[in-house]
Amino acid sequence: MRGDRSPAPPDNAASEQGRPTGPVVAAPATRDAPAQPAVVARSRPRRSGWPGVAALGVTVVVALVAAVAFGPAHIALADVARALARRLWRGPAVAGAASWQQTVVWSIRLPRALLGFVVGGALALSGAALQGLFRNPLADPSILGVASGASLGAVLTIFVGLAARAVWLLPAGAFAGAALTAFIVLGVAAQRGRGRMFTTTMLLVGVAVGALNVAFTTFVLSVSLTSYDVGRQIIHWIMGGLDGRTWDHLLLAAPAIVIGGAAILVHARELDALLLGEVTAQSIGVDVPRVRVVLVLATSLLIGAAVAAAGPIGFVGLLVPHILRLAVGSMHRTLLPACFLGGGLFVVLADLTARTLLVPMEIPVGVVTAAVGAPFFLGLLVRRGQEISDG
Amino acid sequence: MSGATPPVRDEIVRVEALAFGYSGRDVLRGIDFRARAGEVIGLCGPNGAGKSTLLRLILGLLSPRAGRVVLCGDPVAGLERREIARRAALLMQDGPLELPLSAREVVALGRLPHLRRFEAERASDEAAIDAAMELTDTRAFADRRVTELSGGERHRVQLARALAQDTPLLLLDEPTASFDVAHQLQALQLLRAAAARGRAVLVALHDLSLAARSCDRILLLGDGLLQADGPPAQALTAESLARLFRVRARVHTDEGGTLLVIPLAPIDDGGEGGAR
Repeated sequence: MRGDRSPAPPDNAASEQGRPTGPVVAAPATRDAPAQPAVVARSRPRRSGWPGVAALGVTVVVALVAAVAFGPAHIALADVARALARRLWRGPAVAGAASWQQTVVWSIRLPRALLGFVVGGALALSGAALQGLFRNPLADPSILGVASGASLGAVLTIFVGLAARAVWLLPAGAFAGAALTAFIVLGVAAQRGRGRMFTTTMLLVGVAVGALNVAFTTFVLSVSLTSYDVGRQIIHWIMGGLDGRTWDHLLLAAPAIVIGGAAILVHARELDALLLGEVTAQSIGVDVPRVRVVLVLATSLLIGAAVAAAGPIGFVGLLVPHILRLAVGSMHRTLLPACFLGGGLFVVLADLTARTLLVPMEIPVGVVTAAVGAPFFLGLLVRRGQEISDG
Repeated sequence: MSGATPPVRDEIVRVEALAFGYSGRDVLRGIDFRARAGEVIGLCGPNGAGKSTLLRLILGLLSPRAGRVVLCGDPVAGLERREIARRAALLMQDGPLELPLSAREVVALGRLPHLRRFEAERASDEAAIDAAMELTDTRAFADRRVTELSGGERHRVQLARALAQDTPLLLLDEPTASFDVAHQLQALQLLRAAAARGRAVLVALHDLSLAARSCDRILLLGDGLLQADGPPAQALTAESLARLFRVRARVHTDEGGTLLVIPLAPIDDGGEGGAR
């Protein structure tokens, strides 16, 4: 931990109240006395985002417990605890924790909740990384076509029959599709900008490549419809969601997400530096071409794993980093962990809603994330519209 | 390793027969000069003369077509980015406008080349950051978002960031363009002070009087060549201004010994300008 932020100017009177988690931006404090800096006892809202990260961590634990406790089948909290304790610590076979409860808690709800958590974390983290890399708050795995690339890769492995051969081939296909798309977008955008990334160019290229991916995916789907089995499999996969996901899915996705996530977290400082622009980032020692390749590969790994496990889930990568930047600031050393926790939290809660809102029907989790996320995001854009101008 | 020309004492950067071009068109050729510790060198020339390009070549951000740059004894082409960043800092003309960081966070990024991957800023880093902010008069808005600052304030924050980098060589591209008069003078005093502490400063300037007053030497770039390299009074003459900038100018030394460059009118040459 970095507790030792000692050399603070002696204006700490207000700083204790300067809660880093407050959603209100620092602006008001600055309007007061621009001419006489000595008098201004400023709160320091961006000094550290760690309390915010810790609060998120606690909320995540609560949400995971809720996700395991609630569902169409009613199980009392005490029974949930008993079922878990029995699996984890081989506790005594307590009367009351029936074996069906054990199955529901341990084999259905827990892996599903944990998978939702890592998938959401992966999506939000890759969103934050891409936004830092492109220096644009609109960069997002789905807008840049990376997610649709992963979908195409996954659908292709189902179509040619590879997915049936080994369980890891579908995630591998998704990763390949994501990485290929990311590099095409990056390459074309860099080419047009003569080595510099222009926001609009990058977004346009992403939209174009994404459209191509969707077209190919639809084509593959239409061809595969002649075979009932393959077609159904693909459609089911495209619908996405966390329905019926097991420990196997989690074990398949988690390592890729851990590796990709670690690669991104390790580059937090480089992402900070990139906020200054590519040339300045290089001038303070960042090997921008190398960092770019590492980050694109890492985000592709995350997106590939997330999309392979849960299908396309939109809006997490765009919405979560945007909100958290307001809450914990833009320094990536706190923003990135916060995004992982926040993205996980969002998807776990969305999935909980998806399972319990229209019992016994289940809504795909992507529908919930978009239904909640899009209006919220629009609201943010209206309120803070001037912040997202073309840089 | 190889040293065609022997290094001069206190030499910080040496540029040898440097040439650079974009797709066949030469932007710079045959550029030769050195900068020593303690020197403030002004880089002047008309728009498009290649001033910014030269600064980027020195940092190894562009690869020369011919020639080389030797930075603190080593050819730049063979140095890692981080190592270059410990030897030379760059202040660009325009940074990004959308910077969601606080002023202090931006300045702190100047310490990046001195920190190992997971290392937190040490007391010495904090001291360098505070000192740079003190010098540039930016402490008052240390915790404000850079987006909320005026153009000049923002640029001073970037200057502080470059100073915090604490490098033997400082490269600055038009650092004073957005500053008010007081901060212009302050910035150049600050560069002088940095030079006095053993740095070399290479600063691209459009304001020729300011350059003349505050630089030891002027490098005059024009038509891709180094047209002059010498004390301000030698480099900045009515003749050289007419030839390179196509302006009629009065160059005048006042009683205090200050060189003043006063552009009067553009030279309107229907045919031959006499400068080839």
